Amino acid sequence: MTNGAVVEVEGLWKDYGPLHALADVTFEIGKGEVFGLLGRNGSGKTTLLRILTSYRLPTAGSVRVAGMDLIGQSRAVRRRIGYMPEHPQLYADLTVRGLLRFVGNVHGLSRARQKSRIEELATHFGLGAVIDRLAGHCSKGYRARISLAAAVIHEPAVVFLDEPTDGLDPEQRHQTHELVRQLSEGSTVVLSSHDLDEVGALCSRALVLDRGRIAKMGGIDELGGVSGIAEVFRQTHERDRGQEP
Amino acid sequence: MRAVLTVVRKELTGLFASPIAYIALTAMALSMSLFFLDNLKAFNTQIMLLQTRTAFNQIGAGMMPPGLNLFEQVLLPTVTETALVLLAVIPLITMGMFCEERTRRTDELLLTLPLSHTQIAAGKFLATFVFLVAVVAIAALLPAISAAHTELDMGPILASLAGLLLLSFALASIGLLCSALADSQLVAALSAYAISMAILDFSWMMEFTGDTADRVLQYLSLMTHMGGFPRGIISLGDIVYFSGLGLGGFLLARVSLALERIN
Repeated sequence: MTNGAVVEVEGLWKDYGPLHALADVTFEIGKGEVFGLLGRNGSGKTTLLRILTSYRLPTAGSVRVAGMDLIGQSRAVRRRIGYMPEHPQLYADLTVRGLLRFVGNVHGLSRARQKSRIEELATHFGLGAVIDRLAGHCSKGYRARISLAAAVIHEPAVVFLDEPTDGLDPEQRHQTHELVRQLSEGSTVVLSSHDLDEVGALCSRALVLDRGRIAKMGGIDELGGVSGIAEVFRQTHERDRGQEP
Repeated sequence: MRAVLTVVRKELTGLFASPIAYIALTAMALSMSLFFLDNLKAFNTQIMLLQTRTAFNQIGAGMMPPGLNLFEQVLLPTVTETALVLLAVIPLITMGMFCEERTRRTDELLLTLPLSHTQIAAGKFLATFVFLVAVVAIAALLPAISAAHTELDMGPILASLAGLLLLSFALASIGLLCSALADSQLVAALSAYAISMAILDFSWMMEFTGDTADRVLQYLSLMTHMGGFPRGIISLGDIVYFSGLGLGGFLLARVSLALERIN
């Protein structure tokens, strides 16, 4: 594996019974990259992110994140990552401030550091208006931003974002894109999406998953830009249609 | 330890934000008051009858028949009835502890934080136990008020409260384990209730078993281990039994969390 890679995945498999959700996936992500995970629904993007964040264990293969083995040192890995799940669900009975404090506490931030980080994030992510409201009762746009703030409160080395703009209106999408750009100044960002324009605009490299396997991988330009990636999608779609009875 | 206390604080915030906590506390206060006053009233009636009889016969004045005392007539039945209320209330408190994380999908946040399975399970168990201390403290109110107005031997009362606490912890462990295994809160509550009812008293099963099995079943029954407390007896065997149930529930819940990552 290359020196300086922040995420190293080798021969990764995830089986659900007879179904291979991921099959022999191998790739690396370098420090400071914004890396896109692309694929149609059910292609394995979320499964891959769930394994990379140690939410689920792989069936086989090895993963190193921030230089540490994901299985043997999973807690140490989780200290260095932030994760914004798809459709983030937040604790309904905690205020936004309470939720950020909870996450900060678990990450071992001192009380003073928590306070300053919460103020910074509230300003940065535009959460001032809802900071003392119950997190679970906020609008979808706010929930996405709160989840993102919770993912980065401890300034992680790698941030994993699973379809961060799904269901957001154009203005909220634009704001989220700006936040991802700002995040990438200090952290490596792994972004899962099926929005090709989003990946084209934000990512330096991308990986296209198809039925749990890597269909294409490389720099956005190497993949032929958004139109080149769209062609990969079209081919997989055509193939699947051809297999339909 | 800090991480565990953070989980405890979050869980307690969640518990006190839900109506279930207040329903449990109210149910406990109401039922305890009713049982205690009802038993006290029955005891007073017996005392009055006895006084009338001794005054009429002019014999045996100052003598109390065996079994007619505050502990046998008031404390023992109140503790037994309170145990039954706890058995019904505790599954309602524990049902959401693990299960709700899965149904609301907040487990994705919790399990990707740098917390070990032991820390998560310990946080949830401790939060439940802290809440149950509040529940049992309500049960302590009436004996405490009585003690303020009359001379009572506090030993059996304190032992009874210790017994109720140990019983609560054991029942909570069963409830938390069911919550860790079930996919729905209703299933978690019903299965915890069914298991608790089944192990409450195995005497119904002893009709079909031999002597050795009888002894085992008797040892396993919750009520066998509750009998000593209202008499002021706290035995090591009873402490080991309740602690064993609590620890067993905790370890199995922890294993179930670890297995969830494999799925």
